[in-house]
Amino acid sequence: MSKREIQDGPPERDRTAAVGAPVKRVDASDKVTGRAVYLDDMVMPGVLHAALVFPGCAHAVLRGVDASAARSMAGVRSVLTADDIPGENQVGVIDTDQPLLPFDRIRYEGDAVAVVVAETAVLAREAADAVSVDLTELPGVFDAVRAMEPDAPLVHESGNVFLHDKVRKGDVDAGFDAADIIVEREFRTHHQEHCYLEPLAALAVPADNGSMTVYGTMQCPFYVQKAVADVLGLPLASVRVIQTVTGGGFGGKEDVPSEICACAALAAWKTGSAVKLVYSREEDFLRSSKRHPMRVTFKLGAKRDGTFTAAKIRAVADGGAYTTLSPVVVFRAAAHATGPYEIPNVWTDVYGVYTNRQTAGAFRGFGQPQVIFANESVIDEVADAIGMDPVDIRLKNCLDVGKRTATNQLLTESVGLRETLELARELSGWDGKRAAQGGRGGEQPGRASDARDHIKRGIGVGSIYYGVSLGAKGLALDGSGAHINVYRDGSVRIGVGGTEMGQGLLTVLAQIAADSLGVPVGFVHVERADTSVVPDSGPSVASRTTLMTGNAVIDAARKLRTVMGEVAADSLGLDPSEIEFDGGTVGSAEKNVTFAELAEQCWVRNVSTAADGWYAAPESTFDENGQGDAYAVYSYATHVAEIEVDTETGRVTVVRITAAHDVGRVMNPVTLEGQIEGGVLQGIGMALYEQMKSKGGAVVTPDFSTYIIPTAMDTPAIRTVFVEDPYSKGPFGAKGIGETPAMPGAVAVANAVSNALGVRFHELPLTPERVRRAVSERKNS
Amino acid sequence: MHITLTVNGKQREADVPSAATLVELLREHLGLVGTKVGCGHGECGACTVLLDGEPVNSCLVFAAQCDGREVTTIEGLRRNGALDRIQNAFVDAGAVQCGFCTPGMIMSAAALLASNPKPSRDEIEEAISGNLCRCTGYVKIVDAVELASAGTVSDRAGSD
Amino acid sequence: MYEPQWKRPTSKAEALAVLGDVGEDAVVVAGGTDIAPLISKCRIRPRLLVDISRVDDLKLLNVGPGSKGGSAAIGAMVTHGALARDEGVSEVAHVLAAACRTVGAPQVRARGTIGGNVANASPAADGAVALVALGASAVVESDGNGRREVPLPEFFLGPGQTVLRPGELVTGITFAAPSSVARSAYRKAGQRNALAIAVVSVAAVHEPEAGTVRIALGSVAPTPIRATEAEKLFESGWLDASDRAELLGAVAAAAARDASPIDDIRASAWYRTVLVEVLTRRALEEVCL
Repeated sequence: MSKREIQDGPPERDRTAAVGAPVKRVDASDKVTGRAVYLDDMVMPGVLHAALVFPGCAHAVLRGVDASAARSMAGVRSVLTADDIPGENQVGVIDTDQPLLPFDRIRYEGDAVAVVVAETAVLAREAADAVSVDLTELPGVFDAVRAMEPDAPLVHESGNVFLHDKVRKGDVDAGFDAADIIVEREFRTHHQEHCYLEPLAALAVPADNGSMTVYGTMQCPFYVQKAVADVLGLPLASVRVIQTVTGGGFGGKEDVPSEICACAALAAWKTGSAVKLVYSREEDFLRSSKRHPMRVTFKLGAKRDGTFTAAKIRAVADGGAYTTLSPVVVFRAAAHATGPYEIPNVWTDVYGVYTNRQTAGAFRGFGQPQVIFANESVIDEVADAIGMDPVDIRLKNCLDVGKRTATNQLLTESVGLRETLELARELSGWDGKRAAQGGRGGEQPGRASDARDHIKRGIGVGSIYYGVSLGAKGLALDGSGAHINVYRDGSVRIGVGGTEMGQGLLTVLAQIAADSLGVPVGFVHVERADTSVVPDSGPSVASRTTLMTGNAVIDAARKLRTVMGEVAADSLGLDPSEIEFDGGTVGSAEKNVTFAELAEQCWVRNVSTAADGWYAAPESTFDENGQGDAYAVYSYATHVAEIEVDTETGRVTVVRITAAHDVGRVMNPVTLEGQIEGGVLQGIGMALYEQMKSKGGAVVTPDFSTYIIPTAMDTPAIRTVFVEDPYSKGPFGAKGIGETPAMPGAVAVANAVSNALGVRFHELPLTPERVRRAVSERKNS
Repeated sequence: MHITLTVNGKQREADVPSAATLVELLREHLGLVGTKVGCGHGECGACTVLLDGEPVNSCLVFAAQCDGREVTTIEGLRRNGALDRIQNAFVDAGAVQCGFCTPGMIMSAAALLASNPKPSRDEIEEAISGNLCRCTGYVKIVDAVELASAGTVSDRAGSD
Repeated sequence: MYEPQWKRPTSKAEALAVLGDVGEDAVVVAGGTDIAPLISKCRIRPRLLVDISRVDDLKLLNVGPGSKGGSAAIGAMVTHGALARDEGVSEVAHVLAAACRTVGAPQVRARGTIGGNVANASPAADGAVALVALGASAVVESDGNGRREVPLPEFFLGPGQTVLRPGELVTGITFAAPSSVARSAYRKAGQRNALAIAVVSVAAVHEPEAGTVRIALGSVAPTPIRATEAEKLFESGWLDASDRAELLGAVAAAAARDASPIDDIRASAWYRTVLVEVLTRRALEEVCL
């Protein structure tokens, strides 16, 4: 179901055949036949295999690495340590605090101190196990709040608190003075793991001229290019990075692939052979980044009529051992901490803190799901306290055109939040269910033996907004390129810097290109990202790729239409202004040629039918008080969760999720719905199951049997609905969708459980044990 | 050790390390890389193949145990260059995203439909419950298996 | 490089002879679902692997209406999948079929065997917990010392530990089939609905005419255990109980006292104790009321 609100037509072109249609994925046939080539499927004669050496402790002084036993093993070609790095021993994407191979200090369990290269993967692993590491263990710090104390062990000499972003808007004291009710609570969330199904993997191939080609599963080939060039001391032009078919990312393949690719490249540089490095699932869990655990104190003031008057937030994010992407995550958490509401007085502090735990970085939502759990929970408590419906209180305060965000940004267009709330309310049957079900036992068809009043039903809501793309703290990265080449038969090949990781980018770009050139989708082939084809296009993260790369494709197509249109006008005897590109033909209604004929004419006339496109994000700002136009545009979503909870076992079953998303413009309803459904289940995972646990810095949930993600038997019915409130600068009006589906679900589930039980929860996940304990405590109190 | 077995209807032979698993035999010795490795310990289902018609995690079966047996992999579903009805249904229903779980998922679906041609959604969910997917939320995968069982999917030539 | 030797017997006699020859260095591989990960994670490196998956005389399944009230026998190589879908097992020993249906996922059920489930001696083993409630014994055979039947509570010594001696093989399971009016149930709490290791499991077999019940508990002790105090309480009161639901509640509470769980990564001892009571009560309500 789709509710359209097309304004004055999308920018650039008003006729769409492919955009908005349920075009089949261009990569689906290869994937259903097993022919899609993922990194580990690549075969290369003479390839060597690498394995990493993990000292296996969380904090230590590194005194030495003895690889003599490993080096003497048959089939072992090389063992490399920090001393072997010809360039800079550094892979941090924002700060330079993360060595590729630590040389003096181990800061977390995932630090690797050596790369072993051998003729087979099994040999490499065995040799890696034969490397001995001389360490002096140090006391570690495994809790971010503890790490902020003056006597805490230091992870880096510069101090454990490495980030502090703030938002200061209005007069927060006056705002609380004006409130009739104030609720303040502390919330906790934990490490969440991406669990993309394809583990990290890389293949580095050296060339005689000293250049290096690196293949890998990744979101951000330009990050990898920079890291490999730095580590090998090569100019960027000598490093080519080609993304292979990528089996999921979700943020986990943003900056982390730089490490594995640089290790493989280092090994290839040293041995002069192609080197493959593939992580086991356990290595992947150990070494990849996680969603930041956060401790969030949230204080909200409201008038008796539900109007919010002030919010004060203090959040501490556990960044783990290195900075990685924490600055972006902390910034985003700070900018969005109050949720998608107009609140006149805001005081927000978000800290990023080092610990000796796994690094935390990008994960779908980028720091927001943690603060959303806080703000959307407290709103429900405020609503309860004043006797207001949770949807009503959200509608009362929700952002809209003409309203201002916490950063005091005036919203001028494409704000579909209100509609998402209204649609989710209507389609979920909220009003009747909220009144009838909350806390009451429901009849249990088909569960005769359990048909007692221990099953309680609940319904809950969560709303979010998400600044699309990188915003004020990522402007330098926020351009994207596309290269279009039209061959003489009219077929079109497109090179981009954005990456397909499963979300459907190649298909959507083919749709955008098809409509931009007025040709059928079948004419267009979009190639996976290759750093040699387009300028640095930044990362494929932050829901930015359809917007950024899509606009770059449109820009290139515009240039091609101008050039090819002139040829068409000349050959058809028309004025260039009369030339239309549509339906595979070019010209006017009376006089036209096919696109293929025109391409041939251009070829005959030696007119170039290749063009480069570029799109740069509009200016955005975030001053020292956290005020400014932080992001160019925002996406909005509301999820309603319906749950059942077994009060005797504490087990929560999600029955149905209604997901309403304002996406600006639907590019492809099938891929969009699929992205939303997947995100919904990740949100449910965060709500109910997922926690990467560690003890003293050592991970104790190292695999899929201990780190629990939902199976097909844990999936609720999911109903998605789209709101289309177009964004004037988006491709055909589109905004971003990547992150938002994973964001409101967790708190919607938590709010539904609270609705069922009359108990509030302040820590995720809501494991059966945690829920059961809350039921006990309620009974006892 | 020397292994002889039938893979996708053809007799194949290989010399493998004696501790090798079936998935190593398939991927590293027979070049059948359509079967994926997501965990290596039978916890994700990406390596699902049919062994004597039953779905198994090929990372949990020793190659030595497959001597003389019959194995069907994702490469064995295509017939005369055309996609099988389940493969077509996965394309039609939008059940594919990153695609890494897809081959194993399709093999689990194939095992189900061979024994239960008209499964309910609950039965489909149970049949694919050993195949983890992180992209789709499973909804369109269940749709696809339902579509395949209804027999109304499009024919699609392979991408040879 | 690790290169174990394989023996691949095709009959029980040959399997026992092989095991008699090689003794302690051998590890038996049935479905492989437990052994393969141990080897791939380098937890064990046996020099010799004995593949019994080709031994057809270990695949016999003799559980059906005919065995009611008599003796039921299951070969060690019968898979969880086969037990879950076998009509005879469902009729005579519902608890076993129900338990096997909760093992892992279809792929694991297609390979994992009941003999392996028992010999592996996990306190969380679904099939083993059901078999304990059925009063089953492991049939243990060896080349030299013949055949013995060991009641499962005696067979298990601890996690991964059994009374098996070198050269011995679990060739099957045997139990006295419940009467034709008996009812049984399996209740399991896992961390999710599939691919779930039991946080707590409860198996119950009720003989209405005798007024007895056998209750087995999983994941609450070093081995699957019987809830003996709970069973006694049931037997002492069931036939004369004025409020049967209330008695079942008391029996469930007694089962919680029979358990001696620990804290681990999946749950705390406290929560396991809660679950034992809830799941036992529910299982008993299913089979007794």
